[in-house]
Amino acid sequence: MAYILIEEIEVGMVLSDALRSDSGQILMPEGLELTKKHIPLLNRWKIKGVNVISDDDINIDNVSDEKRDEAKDYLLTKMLWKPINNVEKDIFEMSLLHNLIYKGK
Amino acid sequence: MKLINNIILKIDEFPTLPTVYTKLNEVMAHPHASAKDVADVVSQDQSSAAKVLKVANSPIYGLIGKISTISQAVVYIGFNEVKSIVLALSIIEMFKDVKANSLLDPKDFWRYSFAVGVISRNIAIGLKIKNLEGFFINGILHGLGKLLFLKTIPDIYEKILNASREKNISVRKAEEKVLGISHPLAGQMLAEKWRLPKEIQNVIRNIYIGSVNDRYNEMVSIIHLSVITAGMLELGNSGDFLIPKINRQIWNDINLPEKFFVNNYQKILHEYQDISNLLS
Repeated sequence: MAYILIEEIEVGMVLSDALRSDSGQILMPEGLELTKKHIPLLNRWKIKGVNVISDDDINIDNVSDEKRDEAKDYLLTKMLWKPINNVEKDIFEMSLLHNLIYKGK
Repeated sequence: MKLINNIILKIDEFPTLPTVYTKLNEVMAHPHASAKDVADVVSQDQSSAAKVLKVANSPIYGLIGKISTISQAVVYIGFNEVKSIVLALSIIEMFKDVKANSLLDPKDFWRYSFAVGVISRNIAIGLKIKNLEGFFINGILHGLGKLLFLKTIPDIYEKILNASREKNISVRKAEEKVLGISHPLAGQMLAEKWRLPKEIQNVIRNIYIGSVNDRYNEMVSIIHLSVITAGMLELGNSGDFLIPKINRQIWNDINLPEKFFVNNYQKILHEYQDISNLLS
């Protein structure tokens, strides 16, 4: 997944998440392939950027369980807390993702 | 030897903020101050004016390339935010001569601080907070005390950072043991000497507490969470290996959308990389 600005959209990019309005209504579904006609719509909705599928996604899927566990253990040794609720688990999941993408390289 | 007295003296003797910031304060204290008045003050200092425009056009404010004058910056991102950007740029400049030691390079500390600012503003957006002023810049400035120590007691501070690693304790605890004062308090004292807004002083002082007088404080609590998140992501270097505890009382007031962080990860990273490249 990569966050890109409207100015950077290229035809053929695919949304990695559904695009939602402030009220949560789905404006564009997950997996939608972007074409030229979508740009004016995004501008009209004042959307600044979207999440699209990127090469990094493929790398993450290929990560072995060992690598994932190693990264988890590493993070947990640094943390003076353990994730107990959804937001804390969300922060942990993002950090794991980041660690696997960047520290693995 | 009383190190704490030495530090208090050093805070007292610390240089004052550049005149561009104090002049901005004077101009903005006037009830009828206009965007032009602010622009006139900022524009007198050409190098800071150019940098303010760069920051205002960075992805953080979502106005990329749309702002070409300081007056426009004032109109689009607000009087206070422009003043805060000038303040942050001034402080970055004041600590420019700080040397890296074996455990912490001030450039990496600033990168970490930018990450905290970016994450804070994104959390505020995620919480649908109307007035976003301050989240980015207060996030950047939360660690003023660590910079103060790096600049004024470089050798002792390297030993403190070392001790925190060896004993597996937070840098703050190591500071308390060696100095008798830790960076949140020392940082707030410097902020007070500079007469910075109470809001920034609260952030600096209560950054690990995550509340003010045991009560949720939107600015302090969000930046507290951002410090933890930036530590988890290891963006830049905070100087701490350990990631601080979360004040879990904040969850009574912070209700983020489901999977907020995973969904905003790339956006945060993009904004962080852009601002880091711009200012370091």
